[in-house]
Amino acid sequence: MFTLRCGIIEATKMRKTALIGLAIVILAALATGVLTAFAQSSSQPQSSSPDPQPGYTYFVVYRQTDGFIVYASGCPPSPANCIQTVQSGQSIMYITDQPVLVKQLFADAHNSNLGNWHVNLQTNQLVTTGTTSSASVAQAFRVSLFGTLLPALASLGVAASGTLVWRRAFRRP
Amino acid sequence: MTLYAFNQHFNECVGAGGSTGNIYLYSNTGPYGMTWVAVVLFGLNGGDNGQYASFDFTIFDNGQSGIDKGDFGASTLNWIQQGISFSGSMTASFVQGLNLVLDVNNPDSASQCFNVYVTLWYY
Repeated sequence: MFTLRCGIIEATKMRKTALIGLAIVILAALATGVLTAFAQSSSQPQSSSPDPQPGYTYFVVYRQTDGFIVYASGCPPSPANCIQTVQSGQSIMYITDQPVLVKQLFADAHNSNLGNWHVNLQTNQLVTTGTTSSASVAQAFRVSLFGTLLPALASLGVAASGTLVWRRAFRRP
Repeated sequence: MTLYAFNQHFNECVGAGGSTGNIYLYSNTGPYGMTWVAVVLFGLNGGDNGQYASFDFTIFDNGQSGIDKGDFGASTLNWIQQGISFSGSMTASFVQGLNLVLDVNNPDSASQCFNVYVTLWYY
């Protein structure tokens, strides 16, 4: 009887220790994942751009020879004017009525990637040749998926299977 | 003294090796015959931590032969650091309206966006 009671106490202690250990493993995995994701995301260039902003006028000035974008401008509403004296060999294209385009272009420009864009001189349309910032969003999600969720899920799996094994081992007859 | 424009924000993104030329942020702005005070601020907007570039604000009056009435900027190429803004003030009397012009030059192989803020008064 005494041996049985000692065995139960011992088993309870082992169970508590095992559960605490598993909790620590889960927390460590979560913390590692979060830190990894944070470190990787902080090393990415800044991607936030408030454009398009209400009332603003957006345009690009490009070279007539190859469609290269010399510069892109976001101009606030009146009383500002933003009148451009286009230099020889350059043209101007207003894109205010294309907010999706404005958003992508300025997000790229904000990350030093205005060079991804040019004006197609045949179609007279603004096009991108590179990866736009929506890809950064996908990348950030992938980082958090592999860096945080998967380790946490793996830990939960280990914890669940450990509990099952423990219960089977100490199941009362 | 009348406030004409308060802290208006312009976003200028200049391509690699590009220059904006003269952008008229405000063109022949009235009323005529006033003294104008222009407070301008210039800094990086995203991109690199430091950018080798130049910028130049000028104000001029068509009623006075278009000569420069005020100038502010680093008109020669300079390192502009992220988070640090250059601000200056220009005051001049005008016969006609105020013209405020900005020119940005980016000789870098990467594009760069710049924040520009302008506040204007007249009296």
